[in-house]
Amino acid sequence: MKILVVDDSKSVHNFVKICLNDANVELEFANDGVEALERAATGGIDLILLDWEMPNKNGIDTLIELRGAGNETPVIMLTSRNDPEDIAKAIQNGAQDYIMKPFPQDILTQKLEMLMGLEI
Amino acid sequence: MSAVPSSPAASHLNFFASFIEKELGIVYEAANYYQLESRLKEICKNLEIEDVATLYSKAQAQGITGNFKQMLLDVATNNETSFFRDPKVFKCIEDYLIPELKKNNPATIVFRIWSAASSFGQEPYTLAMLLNEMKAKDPSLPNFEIWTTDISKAALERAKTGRYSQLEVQRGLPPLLLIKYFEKDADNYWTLKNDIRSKVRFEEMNLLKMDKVVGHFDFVLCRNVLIYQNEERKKKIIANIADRIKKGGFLILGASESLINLSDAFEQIVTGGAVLYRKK
Repeated sequence: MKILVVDDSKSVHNFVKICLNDANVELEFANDGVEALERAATGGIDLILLDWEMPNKNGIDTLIELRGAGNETPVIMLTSRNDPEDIAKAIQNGAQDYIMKPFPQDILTQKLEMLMGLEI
Repeated sequence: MSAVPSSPAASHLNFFASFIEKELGIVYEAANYYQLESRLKEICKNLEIEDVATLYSKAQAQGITGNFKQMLLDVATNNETSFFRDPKVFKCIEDYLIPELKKNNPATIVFRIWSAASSFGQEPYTLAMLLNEMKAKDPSLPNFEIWTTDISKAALERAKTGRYSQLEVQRGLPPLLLIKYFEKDADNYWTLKNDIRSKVRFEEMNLLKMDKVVGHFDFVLCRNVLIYQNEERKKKIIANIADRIKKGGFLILGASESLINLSDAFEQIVTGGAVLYRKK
């Protein structure tokens, strides 16, 4: 399974790497929405972890463009935005789940287990 | 020469244990400090802090506030309490148990449900949300009344508030249910709305004494209670619960628990990967 981690913070890339160290997954990284859309278009991604606030293209616009292009890859938002309106907006626009930062390892692994049937 | 990683000092663990006790009423015995230690190390990793000693220095210098406080209080409940804990069980309640009860009790107007070990309330509130969702889809379902009991007064007091940290609400709760049933406050805590919270009735009770439960129930969840009891107490608890379940009603135990050698008052049913016991 291949997971694309989209976040402009290297420490989030690293934290996800540590969280999923024991899981049977391959990670790829993108620094913003533009890079994410380019990578997603080439295929082979099973899940996207998507930050909201990023330079160049933010997460919600990325999600909308992704779904607009017919890409149905499951998306979990991974963001410090925690207003109910933001959560609703992400789900309405096709995100499968939503993680509010900061989060401990077990929340990420539990969501992946639920969504992807991964055993971590 | 490289430094040898050392275990956190007992005084540091004492400090964090006292903080958790003061805030939550949860006591970490010294014998369980290894558990506290591993959870503090997880916080260090998350906050990009080197070790527990540095975390302790940070707490001393800056106080325990904000995200740090949230994470620390959360370690005390980590994995113990989650919404929709063991999702197969709730799927089975939705797909099998409630339809069975409805089919076999067509005249019933209220289903009585008992969550026998409430802890911080995630289990009874999960039931309340699930049944509310089911009733919205099928208005012909009976109404429901949920009782919950726990031996810990501190846990019950906390459960009654229906207020959870941002980390707690992310354990097991789908985001759509979170925004439908909870309100967020300025401290990033989420509180269950009153109309769903009021569906749950709380009582402090020891399952060996059974002095507070009134009437009989259509189904009972008693999960992860028996594992902490000896054989004699297990039998007593199960007999007490069996007395309170209607004929044809259901009992659900924790994933690692069973009624083998404890009771013959039930028949076992396995469906959708979950195990149920139906009262004979």
